Amino acid sequence: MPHQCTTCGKVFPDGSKEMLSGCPSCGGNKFQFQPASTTSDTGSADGSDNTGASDSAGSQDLTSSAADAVRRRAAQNDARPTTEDEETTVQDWVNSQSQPTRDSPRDSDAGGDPDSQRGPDPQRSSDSRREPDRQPPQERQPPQTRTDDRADSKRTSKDDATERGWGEWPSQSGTEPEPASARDDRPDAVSSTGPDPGEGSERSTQRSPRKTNRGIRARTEDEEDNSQRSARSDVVTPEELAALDSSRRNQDDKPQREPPRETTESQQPPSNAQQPPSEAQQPPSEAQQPPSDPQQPQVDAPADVPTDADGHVVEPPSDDRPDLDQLREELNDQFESIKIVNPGQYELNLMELYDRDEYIISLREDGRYVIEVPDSWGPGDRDD
Amino acid sequence: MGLLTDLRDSISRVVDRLFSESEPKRIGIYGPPNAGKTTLANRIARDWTGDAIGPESHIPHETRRARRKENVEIERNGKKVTIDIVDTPGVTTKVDYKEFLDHDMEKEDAVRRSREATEGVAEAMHWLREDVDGVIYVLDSTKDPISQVNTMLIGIIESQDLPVLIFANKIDLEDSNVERISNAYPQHETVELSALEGENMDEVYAKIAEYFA
Repeated sequence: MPHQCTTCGKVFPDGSKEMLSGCPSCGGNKFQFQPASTTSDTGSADGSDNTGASDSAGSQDLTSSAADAVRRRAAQNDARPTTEDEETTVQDWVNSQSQPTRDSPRDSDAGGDPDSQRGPDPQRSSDSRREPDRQPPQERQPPQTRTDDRADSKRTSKDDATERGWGEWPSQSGTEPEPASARDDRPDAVSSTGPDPGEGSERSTQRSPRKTNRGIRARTEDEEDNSQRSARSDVVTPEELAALDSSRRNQDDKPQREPPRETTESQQPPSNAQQPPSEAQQPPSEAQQPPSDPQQPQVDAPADVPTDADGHVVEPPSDDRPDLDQLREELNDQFESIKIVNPGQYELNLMELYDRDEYIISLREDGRYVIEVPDSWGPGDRDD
Repeated sequence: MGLLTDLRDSISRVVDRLFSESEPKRIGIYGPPNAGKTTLANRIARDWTGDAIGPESHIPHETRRARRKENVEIERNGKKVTIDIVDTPGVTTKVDYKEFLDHDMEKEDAVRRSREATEGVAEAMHWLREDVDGVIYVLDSTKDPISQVNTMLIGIIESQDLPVLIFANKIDLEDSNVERISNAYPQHETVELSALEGENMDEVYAKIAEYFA
């Protein structure tokens, strides 16, 4: 799917990496994918190539419009019934998208025009917003229907990750069930906004897909109860709000990073001392991200685009940076249990290995490894 | 999932064992690579069951998967203990295939051995956390006992409150220095031995029976 700079309207071909460092024409860093929905309705007539694209575009329309509808309602207290709302939205959006998108670059849609411009607006800004909720089912369906360009760009990034030795999950996702389950769990992660940012961010690692399963399960059982309990009695303190916000941000970061590959890269420009900047974040998202999401629009959602899965007001952009750095640090820490220096050369962090719930069954070439995660027992069980 | 089931089973076995005196205790033989863990495990197994546990080698990381010998009954001085001996891969913080190239190994084999050794360390650490009731920590008495690995592992073992015996192995070698080991870890009992030559095995078994009974 081609991309378009939201500032100057420059169009980038599918799979272009040009925009990873910002728009070369105007320096803008917000992009939208040039809607396929214009072709999606006529896609079946266009040829087989479009079929997959139109399918996915259709589902995107649905989800984005649904997200949009929710958002609008939240913003306006609009009392229109949901179904009607959604229906209108789908149609409106599909139709309206084709016209304004092509002609005029969407430059200021960050939420200013919820009603009239609902097409372009959700397409770009709510893209990441709706991802956490909608992405998994959507992703799973037409994994291979993407264009080759997209696949190529993915492959490239995967290769990058491979070279660095720890971005391997996606490549296995086709054969292994774990990434799928990780995906299944992800919505849980979003919905159960546990008050600990650290744990939330932990999940964004290569290894964490499985660890995630367990962590999330534990969390939904324990912390949701806690929050319900406290909701009945306690008054929220500013500290708690801050903690909650940061945890939500961390959780949002992850989904936000997931769908578009390019997003990940451009999102993390600076400040990773240990890793090449452009690749710094990619492996985690790659790792965590099964490769089956190419149908996601590659809208570049830079770090400063407010995103919130729940439709809440999000932090000012500047706050995201430190969190990302922090998150990155945590991620890096997690890779330390076994560091593959070179093929055949390993550095081991015994404490990490000892502390881990996962049991590393086998290492593979190029830094992949297989872990077994206990899901129904842990060290606590032993004390019984 | 078979492994998971196994692990779960073994955990429940451990839990059961805590309440049952008659069940064998699972004793992990830990230590750095090439300290003589497998030689010791084989010595114990042969002495009390007639079977060996696994191949010994002078090349480090010969043991890359934990091996277990179950129901080894050791009786000394009127004390009798039934243990499962778990011979674990040598624990280290660095594995480098180049180390194996000195032992007439092709690079490909060395790299594979290195990878397996790393998996072995991960496995050993996992077992330490989940699945042992006591530890025999084997050290090569010709080498400096104070290393990051030893300090960390013994620290972990202590934090688990696991009973531990420190075995100063290879006392048949000239530059063996048992005192250095007992000084390094004065909080634990150090038993000298040569697993290869079978020296001082009487005391070894007496201590095992005493500690793990």
